[in-house]
Amino acid sequence: MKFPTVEWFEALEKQAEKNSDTFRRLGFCEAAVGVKVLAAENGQTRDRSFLLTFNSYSCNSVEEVDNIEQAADFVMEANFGTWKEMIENITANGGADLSHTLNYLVMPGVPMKVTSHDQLKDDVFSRFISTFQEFFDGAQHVETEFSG
Amino acid sequence: MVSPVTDTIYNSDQKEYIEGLNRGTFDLQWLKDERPTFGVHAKPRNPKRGLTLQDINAAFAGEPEDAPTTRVMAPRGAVYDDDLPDMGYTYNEKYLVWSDNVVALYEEATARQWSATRDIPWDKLKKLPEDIERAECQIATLLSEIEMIAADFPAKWLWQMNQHFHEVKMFLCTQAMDEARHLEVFRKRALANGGGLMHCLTGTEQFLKTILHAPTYVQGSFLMHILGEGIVLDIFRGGEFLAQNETEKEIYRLCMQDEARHVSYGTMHLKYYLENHPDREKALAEMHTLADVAELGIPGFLTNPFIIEPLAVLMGGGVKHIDQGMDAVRLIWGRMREEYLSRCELAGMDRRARTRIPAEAPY
Repeated sequence: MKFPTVEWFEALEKQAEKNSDTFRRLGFCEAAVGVKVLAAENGQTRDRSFLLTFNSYSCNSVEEVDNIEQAADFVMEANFGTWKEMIENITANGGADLSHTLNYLVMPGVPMKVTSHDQLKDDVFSRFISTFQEFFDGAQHVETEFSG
Repeated sequence: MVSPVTDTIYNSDQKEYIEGLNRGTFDLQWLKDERPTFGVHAKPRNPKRGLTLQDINAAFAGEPEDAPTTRVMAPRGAVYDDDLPDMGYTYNEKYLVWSDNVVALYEEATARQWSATRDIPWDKLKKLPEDIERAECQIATLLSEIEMIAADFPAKWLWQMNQHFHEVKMFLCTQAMDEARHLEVFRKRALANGGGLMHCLTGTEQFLKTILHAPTYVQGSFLMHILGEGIVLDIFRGGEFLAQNETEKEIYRLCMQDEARHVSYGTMHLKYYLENHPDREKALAEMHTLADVAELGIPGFLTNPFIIEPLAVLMGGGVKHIDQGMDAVRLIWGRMREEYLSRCELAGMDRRARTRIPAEAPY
């Protein structure tokens, strides 16, 4: 499955369905999460942005959008290399290690950052962080290709 | 044959009712009464989630009045006797307690509860170098000390809030439970890996006392939800960032979620308060005056060696590299200030031109 594509995120969605007991235990999640892969290092000619809608115990829809800042509560933004390293780390370790969790990557503002036009929506990242981390940790079960 | 009721324990109405029962006559008024909600069928908007407060509020009596005239525990929208006793509530106006996100936050809180015993992988704790263990435990001690304020404070005001605003009271109950769990989890962390409980400071307790004894709910809420818990949210995020093992990672991650809900309520409560206060200008001026004083405590907090040095030791990877670790402290300072100012702005209280919190750490 090629990263970054809608299909790749849908594969994570399917993993979450298989792991539904864990997500139910983490609790209901209502959030519009933006993922932005900056156009660099992988031959992309433009940034690619994906809107992941969580309106259940996990993500229930994925779409590629142009106006991600308007559509999402917050956007996690990083270059291709950072996303690749995070996914490879998750795959290698059966989940993110201590220095590849979402919060670890965004806390200093580099190599990944969270942006939002509204502080309250920025805080949505913190309110559901366990669900988001578990969702991305599902990448360990997805065969990922990183060619641009 | 049943004997007539003569026992003096019963009043005349009760005696009459008992005599009726003994003749086979039932009152059944409650069965005939179709006011106010008989026939209402609240439905889950999202069946996967279940029946939420938002769902039942959409079906009936979901919008609290701005200034209910009752002072009773009877459910909002129910029929009740004319002579119910006055509970003595003092918070009887919606703007004094409400926030527009409180109903959703209550549902979120109940759905995302966790157990400090069951959900933390305590078996992943490993022996740490002494300076690192001490740093973890100094922070765990601080958090175990301060977190319970966010249970004590709402508990003090809860009974004074009119039950017409039951959603606010219910949310504050979840907050109290969250904070009990935070006390628990940090006390457990301090005592689970060889470090133990460490040092508590006068300045910290003074700030906690200011919150606990704030003269009004909105003032205490600002101090606690926006200023205090806003800072603690960044400490939790920093704690996740600096975690030495999966145990600490999970502790901080789960605490982040709880704390962010509290901050979210506090921010939106201040917004509702300011937007709906009968004298908005006066209310805004009073809150600014409070913030002018309260913010002076932030530099004190972030120049306290018992707070910033353990963070720096964790960031640097040991006391030998504490200098490098101060980068994390500077980072947390900047984030705290910016997020605090953004929350105030969102609430309608722009502090950017007025705050005396330095933009950058003085070290």
